[in-house]
Amino acid sequence: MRTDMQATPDPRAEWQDALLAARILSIAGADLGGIHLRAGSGPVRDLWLQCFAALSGNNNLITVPVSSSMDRLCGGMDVHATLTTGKIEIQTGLLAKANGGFAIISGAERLEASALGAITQAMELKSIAPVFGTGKNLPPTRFGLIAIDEAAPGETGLAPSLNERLGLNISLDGISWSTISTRVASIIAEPPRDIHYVKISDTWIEVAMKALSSPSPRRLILTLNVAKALAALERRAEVSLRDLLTAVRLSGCSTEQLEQQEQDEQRQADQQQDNNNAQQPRSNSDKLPDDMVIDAALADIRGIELAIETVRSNSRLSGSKGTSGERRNKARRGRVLGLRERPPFPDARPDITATLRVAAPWQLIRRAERAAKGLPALDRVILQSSDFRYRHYQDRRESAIIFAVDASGSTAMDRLGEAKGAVELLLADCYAERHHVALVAFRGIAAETLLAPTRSLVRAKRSLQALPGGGTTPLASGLKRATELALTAKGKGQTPLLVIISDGSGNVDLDGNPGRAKANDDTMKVARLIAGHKINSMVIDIGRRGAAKGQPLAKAMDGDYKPLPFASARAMSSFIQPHLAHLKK
Amino acid sequence: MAHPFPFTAIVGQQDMKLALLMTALDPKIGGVLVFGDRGTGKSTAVRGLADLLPHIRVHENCRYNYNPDNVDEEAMSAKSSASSGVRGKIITKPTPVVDLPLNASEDRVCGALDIEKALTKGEKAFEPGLFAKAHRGFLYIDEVNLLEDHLVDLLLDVAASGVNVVEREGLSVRHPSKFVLVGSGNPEEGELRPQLLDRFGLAVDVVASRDVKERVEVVRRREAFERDANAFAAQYENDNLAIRRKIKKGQALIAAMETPDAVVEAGAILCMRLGIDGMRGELTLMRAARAKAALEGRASVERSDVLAVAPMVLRHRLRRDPLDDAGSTVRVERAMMEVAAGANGHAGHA
Repeated sequence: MRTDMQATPDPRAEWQDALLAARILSIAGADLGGIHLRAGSGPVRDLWLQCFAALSGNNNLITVPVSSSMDRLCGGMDVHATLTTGKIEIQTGLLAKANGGFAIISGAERLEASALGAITQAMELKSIAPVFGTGKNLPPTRFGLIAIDEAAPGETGLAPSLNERLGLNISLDGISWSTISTRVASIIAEPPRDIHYVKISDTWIEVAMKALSSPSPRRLILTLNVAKALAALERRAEVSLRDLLTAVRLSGCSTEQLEQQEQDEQRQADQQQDNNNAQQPRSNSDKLPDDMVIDAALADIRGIELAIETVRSNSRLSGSKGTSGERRNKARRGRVLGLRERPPFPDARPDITATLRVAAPWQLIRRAERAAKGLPALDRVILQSSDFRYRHYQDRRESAIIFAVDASGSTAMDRLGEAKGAVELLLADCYAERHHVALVAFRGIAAETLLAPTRSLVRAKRSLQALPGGGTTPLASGLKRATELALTAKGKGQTPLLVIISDGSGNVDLDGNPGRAKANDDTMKVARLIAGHKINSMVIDIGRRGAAKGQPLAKAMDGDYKPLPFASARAMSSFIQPHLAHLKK
Repeated sequence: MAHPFPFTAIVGQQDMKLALLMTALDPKIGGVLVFGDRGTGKSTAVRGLADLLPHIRVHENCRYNYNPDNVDEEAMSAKSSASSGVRGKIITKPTPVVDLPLNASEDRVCGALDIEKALTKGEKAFEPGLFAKAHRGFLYIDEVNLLEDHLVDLLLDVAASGVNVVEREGLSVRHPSKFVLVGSGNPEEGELRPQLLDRFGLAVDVVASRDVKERVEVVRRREAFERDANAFAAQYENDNLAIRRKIKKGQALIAAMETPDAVVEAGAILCMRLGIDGMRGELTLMRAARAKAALEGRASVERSDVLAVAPMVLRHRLRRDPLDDAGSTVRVERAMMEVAAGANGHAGHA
């Protein structure tokens, strides 16, 4: 990580990228899906949004609050109009309002599953059915989505199902206010070409395919559309390599697979090179040979990717903020249980549709009653207090179990296999209970989130199996990463349980520097943080000599301690079992 | 919404396409679960399916898709029309393919009191929901593994009984709701409840193609579609029509198709080897094998048909070890090899 520091790109270049993304989004909108904008609130983000608004001519930008109800999102009954006319009036939802323009969601990483479903469906089908009624002519929803992801470091970001549908992926987090130029990109004078008529060669498609880490055809198509939009911006009829490179950069692909591909590519290129040397190149004046181009393209992309990654990790502040979710009363959200006559909490708002449904059959009788009492007739729906219905939510009792596994050299030799076995057994339990599971491993100089909280056991198992061992013990970093995951889980209304599997003796501090004293200090600091947040925790000491080095750690964390000098995986599992049972209560 | 992307224009994904066509031919196979990579055209295939399905006969104003050729349903239709007015003449219309959105309310799914009628006329009328709309057709749930539990519960009841029962707000309504359940999703986002998994007759895995030529073709077709959806759909209309004819012809073939003992035996051995309890697996295996033969225009079913459809029929029925990821397909294949080899030995013996 230290060595990567030199690769930090010019933040000004990043800002230019962000502006470029804004420009092409403003011209191609729905064809690009939209933008995944990683940015905390602040002046940089505001400026970007202002620029975007200017570029798109302030044309139909709809702000969609992340907590919008389904009726607001998809459209539903217009209560006012319905009550005054006595006829069902459907109100256009926010997504339909964004048709032909853009929908902006800040804090999009906090979207609930059902809202996510509605949004992705609207993007997919380009139309949406309102929550109420079954209209024949569904309102169209062709919009570009601006999903602002405010996830703090260590928190789970935008849902993959949404990220997958957004062609642009830009981070403003590494850009400081002082570095950006105040000059806003000029508004396009000439109307750009229609991106659907921009051509792209097969070679470029193959390059893009290799550059993208995801095998998804949808991702590929979106990225190609970004490249086309770039060409369209300059009124060119065909996509150039530069367009493509920029598009891959703007779509934010991960570096992992690229490295692999680059190596493969290198090998192929070498072979090709030999062939080329043997043969005389036919025409090298107007066009580079394809393989060389692929090679260059990959090198370029990779450098950029590494740079972005570095910026991202360096710009992140330590510690994480509490999320708004934690403070909220849990019974106010979650799974809908059904309708009741009493409000679930004092300021609950009634469910209008349900209320009207209850009141409806009585209208004729109530009118007659009023008339009998000699009261003036009303031309609106007559509601009584007994008609009101409230939606009740079930408190989410999901729990998230975060395993932090020590994969350093000290444990790797004789205990890592055991630890893996134990975690695997526990995963099976978690499956039965439908717990979320996350995996953190620490070795060398840093901790790594192998798996963000998920219910997919297959993935958990795969990443566990692939976990290598060896190196120094960055216990403090491991704890910190696990704590961040625990706090995110808490923010989502889950109950976290931290399971630290280590020998309790760290020798690398939070900054990645070796040194036992500082390492221990840092470890204790994080441990006290865990106690402070009242996170359920436990230490499973897999130290060799039963030195009980994990005991002070467990104490500082205010967690349980279990030394397992010679334990089997099964013993470990049986130790955690009661805690799982406890979580359910 | 303009034209959906034509089914026949989908590149590759043979398993998924075969599974969908088989259920189109014989709805009794019991639904398809399509699990796999994101963006591989899972929902595109289902939405394109509507164009391939044979039309159904209904009364013009019927909101329940009652079948006029079914004695019971015709009687129900007559009864309901007695209260709700004229049911109109018999027409043909496309087989419904109904989307069940993740955000659907219970009212919308099951049906509920028609508020408008109640408010304006003081009439207690039932407004049918998606279950009524999907009768005799397909019910499609994208991201089925993210469906809220309370909707899963409703779905399980109806999918098991084929009848939707609504008892609320003083309404008491029963109507048939038989549909082919099609679900798609990405297993990395969560597991499917085992009870729901059981409801699917076939399960196919889709993987994004790694073949460069194929992927370029995917991009090209999508490009053409985005440029002009109607012109693109017109290009594939003949292919779609050909498939529709195949399905129709297959339905006639299947009605008269005999299943030789050897074929039934092969299926039984396969299920036994894999330790699959109950008859459902075997029955579905036979239905699917017959559907495959019929789809290919053959009048008889063979053992090779059974082996061809076995993975998609049996994969999700194995007693599951939650941590065994690749295991189930491998196990099915191993058993298939044994059956194939055993059968050869048998023949040699005779």
